[in-house]
Amino acid sequence: MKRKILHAALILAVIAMAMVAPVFAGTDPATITVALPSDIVSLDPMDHNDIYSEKVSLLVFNRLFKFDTSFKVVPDVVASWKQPSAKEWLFTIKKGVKFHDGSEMTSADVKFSMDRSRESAKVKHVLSEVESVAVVDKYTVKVTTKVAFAPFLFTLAHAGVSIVPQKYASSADKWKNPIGSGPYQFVQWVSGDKIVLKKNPNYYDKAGMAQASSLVFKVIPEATSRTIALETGEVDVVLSLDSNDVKRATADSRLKVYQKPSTDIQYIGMNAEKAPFDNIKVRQAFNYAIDKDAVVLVALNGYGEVASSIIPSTIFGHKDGPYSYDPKKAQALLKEAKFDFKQVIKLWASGDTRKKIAEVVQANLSEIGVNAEIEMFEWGAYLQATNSGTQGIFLLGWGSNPDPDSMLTPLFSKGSIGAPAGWNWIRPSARRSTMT
Amino acid sequence: MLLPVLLGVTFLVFSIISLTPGDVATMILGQGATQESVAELRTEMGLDEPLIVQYGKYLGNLVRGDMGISYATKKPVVEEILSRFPNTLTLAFFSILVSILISIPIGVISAVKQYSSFDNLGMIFALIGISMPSFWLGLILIIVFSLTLGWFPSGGADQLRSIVLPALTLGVASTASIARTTRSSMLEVIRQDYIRTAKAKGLGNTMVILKHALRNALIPTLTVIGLEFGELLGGAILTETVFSWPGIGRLMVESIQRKDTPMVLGCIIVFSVAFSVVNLLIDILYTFIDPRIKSTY
Repeated sequence: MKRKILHAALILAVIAMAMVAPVFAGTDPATITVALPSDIVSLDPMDHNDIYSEKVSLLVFNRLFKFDTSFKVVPDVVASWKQPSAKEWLFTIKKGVKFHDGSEMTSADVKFSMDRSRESAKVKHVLSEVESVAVVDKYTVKVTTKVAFAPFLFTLAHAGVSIVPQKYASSADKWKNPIGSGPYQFVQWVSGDKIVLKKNPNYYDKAGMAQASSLVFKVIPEATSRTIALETGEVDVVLSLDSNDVKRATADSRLKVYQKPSTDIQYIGMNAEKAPFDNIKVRQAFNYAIDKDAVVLVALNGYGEVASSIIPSTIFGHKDGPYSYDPKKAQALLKEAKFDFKQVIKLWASGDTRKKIAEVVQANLSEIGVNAEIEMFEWGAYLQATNSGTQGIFLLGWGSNPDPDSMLTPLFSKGSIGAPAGWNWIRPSARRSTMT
Repeated sequence: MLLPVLLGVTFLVFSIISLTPGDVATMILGQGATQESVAELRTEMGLDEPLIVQYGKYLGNLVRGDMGISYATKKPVVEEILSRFPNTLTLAFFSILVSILISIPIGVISAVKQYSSFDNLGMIFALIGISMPSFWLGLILIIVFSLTLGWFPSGGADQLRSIVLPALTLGVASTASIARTTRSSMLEVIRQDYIRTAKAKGLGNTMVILKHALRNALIPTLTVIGLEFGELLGGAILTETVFSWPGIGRLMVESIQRKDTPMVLGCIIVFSVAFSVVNLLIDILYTFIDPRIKSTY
């Protein structure tokens, strides 16, 4: 794998849809049933990195901090915190926070959980800036970071940094009956079918007490079936409504569709180490050539917005990029770059939505005389291919917490060369502003 | 016979999964994985070893009854399959029941009334049944019976009623082959001398058909039923997906997508064993239907 850092530019500003559209139907207040498109992977919060497992972990466990409904980071089990120096943090947790087995949460559990998280292959990247965690007293831990790390509190709200009871995690149960301290307690996981949780009557935060007595996550892989289950009242909430069904759900007076721009973006990457994308003019030309509004319309049925920058408009640091849809300028730039119009550009993609995006991009490129061929991959092969260094132009996506660091460091730091962005590009100024 | 089949099937599947593009460690760690963490996980999972060594270790564990641990969920494969297989078995049983109840009467009546309107309609129905994509029929049934009429749940396996629509979807698909086999077999049988003799003895037409003709015509039909049932035991991915049915078909396809080799192999082994057992049972059933077969052993 090449580790060379190239001083060149490019990101094809992208499309971002990321409309999360939860839909709610009339409910039995005792039980709320939520449709999940895929089964969870694990009940161990340090052993999953998929969004559906996180949904369950976020309800069963607490963390030091959490996101409120405005997507701001606020204390969860933390009573107070101090930063004695740029690299040192002291966190004191609330007294009387009980795990579901009745035992009290202490700083030993916090240290154990953070250390466990740092050793987990799936989530260790979350606390990669942490140097050490030490117990100060029964309720206080001291965390030392490797560098002064301003967005640290955001990372502590991640599901992978959930606080688990040391006694349970070290037991032989192997996460079949997880014990947390969250507003819901685990009841049952029927593989491929459902996950059942019940209200934790002893939840420490009386104001944040669960409203429904039980919560059922129902696995419904097919998008149309999810919408129908909502319409028949078999489920109360669909978290990711298919964009084809939004209109129908909106027209149904029994349903309420909630739409909010998310922090997820879809981007088109170009490998700055590989011709013809090693030429900045080619990358700029491609950026001008793509009609991003058309992409949103075709690939997302209009339920999305154009991402004019790699930092989504929903978070701090967003600034509109310079690239408008201008095929003439694109053509001129390609001519300046002495682009070979006879060559066939391989456009890589994986998944249905990205296939649709690729088709629009292919049509746009064809308008400026560029012959592009779409190559579809199965997801596993795609991850490997986009991390191989042989990629040219390809479609991927990324999500962020409210701090832009979670977008910039993984995609633009030295460590990002190769994975996960795959475009093999970093500018010195970007390198300076990221942590690694 | 089962052992060589299992050996061949597991080796083939093991090789195919290993040779297809994509790395399981990269998939487990996701898009943010660095080369170092992927390499670390590969070593931890034993994926660095030669393919034949990995397969040898798998077989060694298998003969001790250990099907391994799922790469994706870290759950024992046996546990996961045991939780899904009863659903698949139930669905297969009801589907084949639906199929038998529809196709055998169609096959018999079509043969008895050859070239009649019923015969033509019956065969057209069978043709439509096999031609309709199961996901399409499934969705239509959901729209009619769940959404519009509210008679049955649209998915899941929580209630007994949940099985009606998926069983109907799969059952209709198997109708064609069973009905056509029954028809052609019946056509052959009703022209036999002993049927004419039975009629000459003054037996009623219904009695001749049901007692003398059908029983003798059932052997080929039973073979087709066995094959269809065996296939159903391998899971029906599309139907299971449309109806959110937690069966082994969905588990196998999801595992293939995740390159979860131990889980895929576990599903394949269960499928192979189930198919072989069904075939054995069908062979045994022959002897009850036709005593002549029993007498040859």
